Amino acid sequence: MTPTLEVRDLTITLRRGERSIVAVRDACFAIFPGRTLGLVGESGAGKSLTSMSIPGLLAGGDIDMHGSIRLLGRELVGLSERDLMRIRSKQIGMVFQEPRQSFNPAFKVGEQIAETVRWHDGASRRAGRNRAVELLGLTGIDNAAQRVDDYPHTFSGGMLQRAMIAMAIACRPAMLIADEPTAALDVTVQAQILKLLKRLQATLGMAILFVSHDMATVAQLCDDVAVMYAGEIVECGPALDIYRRPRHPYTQGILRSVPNLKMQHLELYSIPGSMPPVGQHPPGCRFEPRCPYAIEACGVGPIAMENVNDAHVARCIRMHELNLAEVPA
Amino acid sequence: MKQLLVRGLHKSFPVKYDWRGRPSRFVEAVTGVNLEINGGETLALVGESGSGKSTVARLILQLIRPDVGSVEFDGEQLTALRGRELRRMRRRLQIIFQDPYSSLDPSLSIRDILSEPFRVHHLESVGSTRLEKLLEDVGLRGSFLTRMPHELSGGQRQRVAIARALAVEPEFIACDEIVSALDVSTRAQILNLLSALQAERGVSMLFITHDLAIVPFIARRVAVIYLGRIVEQGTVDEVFSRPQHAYTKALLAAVPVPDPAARARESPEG
Repeated sequence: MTPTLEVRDLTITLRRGERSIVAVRDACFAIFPGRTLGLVGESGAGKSLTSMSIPGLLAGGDIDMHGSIRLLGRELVGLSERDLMRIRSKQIGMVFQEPRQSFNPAFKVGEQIAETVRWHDGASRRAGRNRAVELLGLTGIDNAAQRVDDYPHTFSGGMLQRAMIAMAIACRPAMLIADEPTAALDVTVQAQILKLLKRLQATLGMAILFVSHDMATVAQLCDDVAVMYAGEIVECGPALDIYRRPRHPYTQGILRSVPNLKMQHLELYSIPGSMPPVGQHPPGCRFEPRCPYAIEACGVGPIAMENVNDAHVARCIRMHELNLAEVPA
Repeated sequence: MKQLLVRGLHKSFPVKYDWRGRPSRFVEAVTGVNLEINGGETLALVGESGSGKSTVARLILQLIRPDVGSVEFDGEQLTALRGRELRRMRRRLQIIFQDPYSSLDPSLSIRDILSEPFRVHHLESVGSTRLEKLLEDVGLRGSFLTRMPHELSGGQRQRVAIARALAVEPEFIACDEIVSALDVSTRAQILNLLSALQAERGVSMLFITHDLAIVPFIARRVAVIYLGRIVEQGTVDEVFSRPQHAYTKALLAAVPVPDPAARARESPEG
């Protein structure tokens, strides 16, 4: 089966005057139809940069992209803006963190959803509006036929996120990119939005790239997980394997620092230190300065991604000798 | 003895004004809130956005005045105090805010930020050694004194905000969503720091959060606020294992479990 999205050796370089900074290095992952990949990491890890690069949203001449991004077998790196315009929304739907900033406050919600359908599918004004009503209903907005004529400010945050999702799936895209879609929402609303995404995926069969910093929401939604640290994917594999038996010490670290209602410890685990800023990475393993398992060999040179098994890869030279599932006392 | 006693707190804010500019419609932000905090104890106040939890913190510190109700701290009625008297009490009650990017003045150095509380409270100004000690207490190097806020990461800024609150040796600290703007690993560091400082100094805290999962790590007692009213209050063990109020149940059910195996059990509807 061909993956919906396949990213290979993606490297993103930011040029700042004379200097060039490698912000994302050698990112590889694939997402299959009907599956969800969680891209997790802390702020500054490069996860948004990676996800934005897929629909070609990294604007400006000071960003270089190398590697390959294939959508349904078609190469996206190097496509013209004109061709990318035809792919965005049509084949790749996007949902962002702050729905209020993604809608234009001066236009009715329905008009903005209809615009997508009219632009890509050449639908008439009336057909666009009808589709908008249908989509709002599908995403669980009551009274869709009336709400379609309301302005964004009359929607609550959760409702507007639903409308945003309605817009993203308007053209039945094969791929949905959701960049922290629930980070700005209350827990009860967050749970509803996650359920909605799952339900829509079950009916539409799209692949989802779910970008998040929250290991708990990722566990709720994702089949596979890719963990990013300081511009590199350090581990990627099936969610259950990653959560049950992480192979990279960083993955173990963030899993242990997630608070859980069922935990009885009095102290939360925390990884000492902080992530190095972009452009100041150590020469060897980027996690080495903070890693409790680091040995001398870790700091020598860049660490290659290695197979744990067919589905699971990690970037740690000690992954076969360490048993990270057993949490040290 | 109760250190902090909050009784029948009400606060409403004007939302509409008539043609003369006089308020014509109000929204009730806080309705009849009663809270008690013992010395050295942490009470977690949980609720969603708009529930009135930040308003409660501001009312306790008298940053805004309640319409009705009283706040008693260590036997003194804060609600009755004005001017100099109130300022004297305020040294003993401090607050830390959610967003360390807006709570630190970007034009002041860390040294100025940490010296300000001493000046405000007309205390003897302190030397570098004392300020460096403050920074070390929150896990920062003393050399940070000469830095500016923009040179610091979010977690480091929040540590400075904690150091500033601790500078005047308060007896009570209100922490208003202080970790929600931070990443997981930083969040854990700050929570542990706060617990350690509390154990060491015996300050009492009101810990406001929307994230129920962190509550067991920081507090023994919890109060759940919904639409300006406390709907449930008790020990964390009690409330989390046997919630009585429907809203508490809904809140707890919505907390995501960090385990992929847990999702197989739930149905994909909604």
